[in-house]
Amino acid sequence: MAEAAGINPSQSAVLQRRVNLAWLGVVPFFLFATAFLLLPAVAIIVQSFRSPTNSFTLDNIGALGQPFILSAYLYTIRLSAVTAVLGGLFGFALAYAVTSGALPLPLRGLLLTFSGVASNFAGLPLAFAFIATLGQLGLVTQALRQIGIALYPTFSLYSFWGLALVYLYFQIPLMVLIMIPTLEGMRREWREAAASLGASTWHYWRYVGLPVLAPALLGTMVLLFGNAFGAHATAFQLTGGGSQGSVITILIGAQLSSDALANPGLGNAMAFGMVLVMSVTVTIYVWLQRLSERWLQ
Amino acid sequence: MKRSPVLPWLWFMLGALYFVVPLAATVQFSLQARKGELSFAAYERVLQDGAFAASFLFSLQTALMTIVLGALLVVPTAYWVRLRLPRLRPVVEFITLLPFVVPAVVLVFGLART
Repeated sequence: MAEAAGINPSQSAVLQRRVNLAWLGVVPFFLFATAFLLLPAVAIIVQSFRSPTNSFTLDNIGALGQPFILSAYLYTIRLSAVTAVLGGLFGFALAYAVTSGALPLPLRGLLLTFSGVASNFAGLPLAFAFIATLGQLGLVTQALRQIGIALYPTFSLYSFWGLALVYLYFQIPLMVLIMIPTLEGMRREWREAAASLGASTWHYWRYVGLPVLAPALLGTMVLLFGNAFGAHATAFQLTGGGSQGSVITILIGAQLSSDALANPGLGNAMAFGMVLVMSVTVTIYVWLQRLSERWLQ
Repeated sequence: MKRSPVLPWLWFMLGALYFVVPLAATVQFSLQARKGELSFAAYERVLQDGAFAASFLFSLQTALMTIVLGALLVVPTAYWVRLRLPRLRPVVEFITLLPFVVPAVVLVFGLART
């Protein structure tokens, strides 16, 4: 090869070395990822199959079948699914509203900026904001009481739907952040072509818009599911860290913080279960992402 | 195709309501340190509290450090992968998805026990 291209051996050696050295550029990143992402993840998986005497065991995985753990998984999955669908639909409506051209253009920038902040607004401040709004003494709760509507005890911020309402505060903005660029990637020509063939708005969405958007819509909702599934502090603050009817991250957090209660094997197995759910989530997300990229980049 | 702006406005207003009210309630709540009146008492107390200053500073430092370290680590890597090692792109993309697969609580569990 080298001779054929008219390069003498010493030059080709230099080229060779440069190719080899190129790998050095990503070494820091891979070292970091190995030390702080891969190794802990592998450790969790290994530990969940290890008994206190360091032999192989399936007891920890079996212990996941206990009613309180199983119900925590189901509760978290339900909460994540509900907030992903509702947040997805409303986030889509918002993104559509500001990209449809019917609203003044500055509102699009405003919504984007706000969504960037709000999608990261989770944990204690978020829980507090909602306690101040819809808690027993919240602003809205008291305002409604004055006009004769008693929210409590029918509604509670600390119930499933209360928690879902709070989760939507970071779910909707994430949907908005992803859907605005996606909606702007829809070609105007498609709509014009449909219109010139006599399609109504309904026909356009039914036969062009939604089929093109569907993978992106579903994919982003899957992402929202994972987003809610991994959330911890928000739920912790609102449910007081109690293990009854609460999310799985709280149980894991409890295993982590209290050594007295802790059974490391069980904690690891619960974490492993979460990793499994998340792996499925991410696999579906990546698959839908590929589908979506066929039409929209 | 002219479309009615009613529905977009409705969605936007609903969104604005949902997002602004909790923030407003937080501000209102924070002004109620003294019973029956609005005051900045809570803010005065917090600012005089040494523990608050210390933890605020700690959070600030942590945030800044993660920004600096994250940028130092990721920007050259992204640049390098894009220009020199495009074949590594799927691997790097997989790794960037990992923090999502292994949520923070789980990650801390793995780190603390190893």
